[in-house]
Parts: sequence; structure tokens; C-alpha cells
Amino acid sequence: MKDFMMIFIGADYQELGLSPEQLQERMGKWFAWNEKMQKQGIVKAGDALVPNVKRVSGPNRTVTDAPLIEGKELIGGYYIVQAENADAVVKIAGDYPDYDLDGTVEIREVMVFDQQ
Amino acid sequence: MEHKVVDHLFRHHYGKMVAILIRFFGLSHIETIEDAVQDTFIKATSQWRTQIPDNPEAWLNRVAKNRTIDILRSIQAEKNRNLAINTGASSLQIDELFLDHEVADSQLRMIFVACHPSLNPSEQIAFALKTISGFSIKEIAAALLTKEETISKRLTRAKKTIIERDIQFQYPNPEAIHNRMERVMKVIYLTFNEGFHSTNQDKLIKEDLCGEAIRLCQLLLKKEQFRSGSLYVLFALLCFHMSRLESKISSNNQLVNLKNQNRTKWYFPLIKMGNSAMHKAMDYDDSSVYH
Repeated sequence: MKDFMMIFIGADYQELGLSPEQLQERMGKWFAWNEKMQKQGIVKAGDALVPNVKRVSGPNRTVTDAPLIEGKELIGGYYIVQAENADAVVKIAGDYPDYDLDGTVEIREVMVFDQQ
Repeated sequence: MEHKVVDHLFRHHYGKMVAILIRFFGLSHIETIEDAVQDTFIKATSQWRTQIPDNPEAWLNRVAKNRTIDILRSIQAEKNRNLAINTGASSLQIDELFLDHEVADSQLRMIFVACHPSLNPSEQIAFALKTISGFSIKEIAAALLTKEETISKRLTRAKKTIIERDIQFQYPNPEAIHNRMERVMKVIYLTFNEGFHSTNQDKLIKEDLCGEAIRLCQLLLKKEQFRSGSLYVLFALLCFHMSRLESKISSNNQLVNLKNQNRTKWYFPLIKMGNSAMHKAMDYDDSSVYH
């Protein structure tokens, strides 16, 4: 078993101006997905991220508030799950609720350092 | 432990929280309050992913209240002047306002604000759907078959009028109730009609509009001072129509006339409710277009 991170990009609810009804529907889908993964016992970690972004960059450690990031590029949250391989995670990611809002899931394997 | 969130909780709770917070902070802060309530739901969608709180409504109330105070404080700080955040209802603690009867009371006040004579009818219905029934601009546009931009404009105009004319968050005077109730009933009737006759393919929006109209009617009927033969008859009319919402559309989305409808699909409890409202209407002398 390996660890994989699913990174959720785009589909910023705040920007999309969803109605309370639609938000509740989304919430229900996330809840159901989380519950399904919990039952399978594959979730190691996961969080939703606050949309405020600060960036530190360059040798001068320049700090920028980055509301300039477009909603569709914003990382909204992540899960770390255990799976056999990336294809299995692709399958898990099939239940991500926000594809219809142009959301994207990026799947990355967590690197394991060799123990000497 | 498994928790279920009640159907439409967010949408119904939107209207409740907006009404209560307006009662506490004042109608002039309506924009801020609507934003705060919307923020609250967005917060819930991330925080309730892993666990739904034991008492979802209390969670929403608390977060919305704090968010409103936060926004108002930051506005105050920006303006650097003493803004009396607490306008009106100061003798009541805000938490008490979240009690059921106070919620109903605040929502009723909201209905009368929405139907205030200084708003024009198209603004009234858009405003009512947004602030009382928690529909988004997109949903209202879809329901009324209008452009989103038009709805935005109507809402902005309505809010501007409310602030400019300093409309109060109150019931109308007893002598004005009769006239105002006529407007209120008209808005309810129109809301229902939009849902019932709409060619909109979205079945959910239709049902929600009709359901909202019936809910508002029920809310008004709970208060003695608003009851009348007309209101009971309107309620009966909506119940009777609603009972056959299912059967009036065939499987290929064609209208089925009354004669050919499958009567076994009519929803009997609503017919009974309508019937009893009809009987109650007989106790009043007034008559109306809904009779």
C-alpha cells in the first residue's frame, strides 16, 4: 500500500455564487464521499483550505496577498489516502463532487524516503 | 454516529437567519447580513464534510451571528466612527431571537417588508424569493424566466428603496393591514403560479416555488390578526392545485388536463388540508379574487 494525495483544484464555492440549496447538496455529497472512504478505512488525512492566499517568493521573501489567483486555480482541499496504485486512486477520485463545476483532482504519490 | 441534514435546511434556514439578524441589527444592514449568511453556508460545506454537528441549526445560527458582527465591526473600524451596531430590539438578547416563535415573527415582518407599497410588484417577488425563501439570483432568474442581470437590478433597486425610504422592520398599522395583506397574498399567489405553470424543465425549482408559497401562507395563518376568509381561501386553492402537481404533467412532459389526470396520483392529505381551510373561510364575511 502506498500513500497518495488527492488535491482539489478549482470550484471555489464562494466565487461561484451557489444558492443555499445547492451548497447543501454539495455538502451532502462531500459528506457521503468522506463516509464511504472512512468505511473502507483508506483515509489518512484530509482538510479543506481557507481561500485566503499569501505567497512568499524571491530572494527578498516578497509577500503577496494573492486574491489574484483565479478561482479555477485555487486549491480547495486535499485528502491523503492509501491505495495499491495510482489507478486505484483515480477510481476513488471518481466520487469527487465538483467535476460539474469545473473542479479538478490532481493525484500525487507521497514519496517515501529510503530508510538506511 | 450518523447525522442527516434535513432536506432544504439551508434554503429555509437562510430566510430565517436573514430575518432574525435584520431584526437585531436593522434593515439598513441587509446587504451585510445576506453576505454573512451566505458565508456561513460556505463554511458549513467545508466543515461538515467529515462531521455534521449535533445541532446543525444552532451551529448555523451561531456562525452567522458572529460573522455578521465581524463584518459590521470591520466596517466600523474602516469608517473609524461609532456605528451603533445594535439598532432596535436591544432589550432582547440576540440568542432569544432564535427561538421558534421569534423566528416566525421575524419572517412575517420580512414578508411585509417585501410587500411594501414603495416596491414595485416585480421587485417584490424577486426580493421575497431571495430574502425570505433563500433562492439564488440564478434560481430566481430561472424560475421567472428572466435574465440574471434583470433580477440583480431588481434586488438592488428594492434594497436601495428600503434604505432610502427608511422602511421599518415592522408589521403595518392595523388600519393598513387589509391593503397590505392584499399585496402579500398577490405575491404568494404569483410565486405559486410561477412554480405551477412554469414551462421550466427543472422539476425541483417548480416544487420549491409552490412549496414556498404554501409555507408562507401557513406562516401568516398562524397569526390571528392576519387571518381572513381570503387568506384561508387562497391557502385552500394552493393546496388543491399542489395536490395534483404530479399528475398534471405526463411522462413526456406534456400538460394533462384535469379530466384526463390520473386521480390516484392526487395527494390526498393536501386535499384534506385545503378542504378544512375552505370550511374555516366560511367563518369570515370577506370575499376575494381567490374565492
